[in-house]
Amino acid sequence: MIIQIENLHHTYMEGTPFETKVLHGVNLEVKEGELVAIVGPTRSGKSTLVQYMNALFLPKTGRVVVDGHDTSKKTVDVRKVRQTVGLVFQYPEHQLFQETVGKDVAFGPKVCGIPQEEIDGRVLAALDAVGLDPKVFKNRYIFALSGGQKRRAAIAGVLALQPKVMIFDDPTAGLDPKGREEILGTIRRVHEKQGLTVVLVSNNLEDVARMARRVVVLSEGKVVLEGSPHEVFSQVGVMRQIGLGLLQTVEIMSKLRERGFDLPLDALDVDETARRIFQYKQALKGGSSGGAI
Amino acid sequence: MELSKDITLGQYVPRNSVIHKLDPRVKIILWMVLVTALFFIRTYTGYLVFFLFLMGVIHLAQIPILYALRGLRPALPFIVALFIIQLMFSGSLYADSTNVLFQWSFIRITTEAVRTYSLTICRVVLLFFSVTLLTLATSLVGLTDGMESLMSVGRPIGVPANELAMVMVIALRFVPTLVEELERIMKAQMARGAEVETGNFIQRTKQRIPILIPLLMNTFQRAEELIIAMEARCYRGGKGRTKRKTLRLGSLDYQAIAVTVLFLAVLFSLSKYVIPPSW
Repeated sequence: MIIQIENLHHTYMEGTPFETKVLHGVNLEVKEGELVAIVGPTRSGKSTLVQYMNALFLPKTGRVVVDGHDTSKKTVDVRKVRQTVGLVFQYPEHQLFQETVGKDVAFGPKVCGIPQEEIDGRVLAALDAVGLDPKVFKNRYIFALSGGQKRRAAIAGVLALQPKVMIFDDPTAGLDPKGREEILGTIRRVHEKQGLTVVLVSNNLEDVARMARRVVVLSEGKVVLEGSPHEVFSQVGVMRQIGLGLLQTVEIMSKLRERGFDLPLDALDVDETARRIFQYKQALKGGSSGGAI
Repeated sequence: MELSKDITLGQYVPRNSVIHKLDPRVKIILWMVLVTALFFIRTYTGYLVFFLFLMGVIHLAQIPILYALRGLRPALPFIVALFIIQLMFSGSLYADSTNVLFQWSFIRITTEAVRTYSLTICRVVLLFFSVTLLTLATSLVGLTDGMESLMSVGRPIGVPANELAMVMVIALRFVPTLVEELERIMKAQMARGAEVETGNFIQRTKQRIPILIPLLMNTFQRAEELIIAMEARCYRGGKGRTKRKTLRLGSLDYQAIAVTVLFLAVLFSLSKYVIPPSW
């Protein structure tokens, strides 16, 4: 267990007229080497929750243990925790501040006191991992990059710290389909090739269905569902009720079910859906008359 | 970390109180009168009375007093530093007046200096409260309308009332937004291992760079987006623009004026007896 969260509560703007409760007793575990997705409607507390995972917030009630460091203790070394868990914020390109890509990626390792020779190697590896050719991009000006490239450069800036866990908070927000594919490809690569544990926070159920092995659904500061994508996304009632909606393929299946066709709800992609419908049709033919699909 | 908790400047707390209901023009004028009066108070008692009055208004506005006080927290280090520096280096100005409390080479602290600068600090703090109070209990729209209406007196001599009001309101409106942005950037850099608020003065200044540069860039971008949004809505200043709600003075406003005048009368009659002969 690399991250363990027990009974976590959080109140935003505590002690002001704008006080709002964001987390109500969250329990969550992240296992080493897994790719887990956290989904939930806006204002469900996702972004707050992930900030506890790298000690940007320290728990007042409840407990957060990251790789053996208990962040609820006063003695915790927050820099160690932040080096273990890399957090990529929403719109990470807003954090870029150096003139060239290489310098910006080197910023993290530099302030963490890594020797210069090692930094160079880390910068190259990080740029490579996000799919920006170091030869081309290392000395390029930040202003000369496209939106998607800026975002990947920012991700490289976090990867260069060589954390054990990477958290991506809504990494595909505001990108075009091509940029989105590139970011998701990057995430998959760091997970599979470098063996990093990945926590993916997203509102895009299609992305989550493709990427994650385990899904945690958050609603109004509580974990309401947890399990494999098949188990979670087939819970049509809950998903609709919390306002998250359904996966497009599940939506089709559930509409067909409403019309009396006995189809399963756990098809996650188009191919699987088509196959299930085809099988169902075959079975109907094999029986007797049956309805037309 | 949560910066926005301590920033009360530019925030608005929506309530349905008598203070919220006052005509914004009345509020702005009374506020200006009170702030001016603040500069004539020369005694601790005077400031105490003034403070209690402001607290009364905050209470009437149904704003938690602790929240209003909280806004002072980020400013506190500056106020204290200001006080100490003033105290240390301007003692010589009062060389002839009174007894010296402490002297070491060029540093000289006199009772007179302590008195003067303590009062200055009271003034700064109360000034801050008055501004906070105005924005906490006046909606942005109210504030714009009020300022515009007051400034339009100068329109015949070419005062661009609407534009000036718009500039002021945008500045105030963006304080909380920029604080939020600042917090986000600080966190993003901290997640990359950056330290904030550690080390000596030079190190601290260096630590600001990764935070200030993105903040500045994002602010420019925001400004540009705002310009486009305004142009897309055909904003052309106040020319030919009518209001859905016209401001009109009600009995509540006259009561507020009366109360303030009464308060000032009491305040100054009271301080007449408290002002020491040297003043």
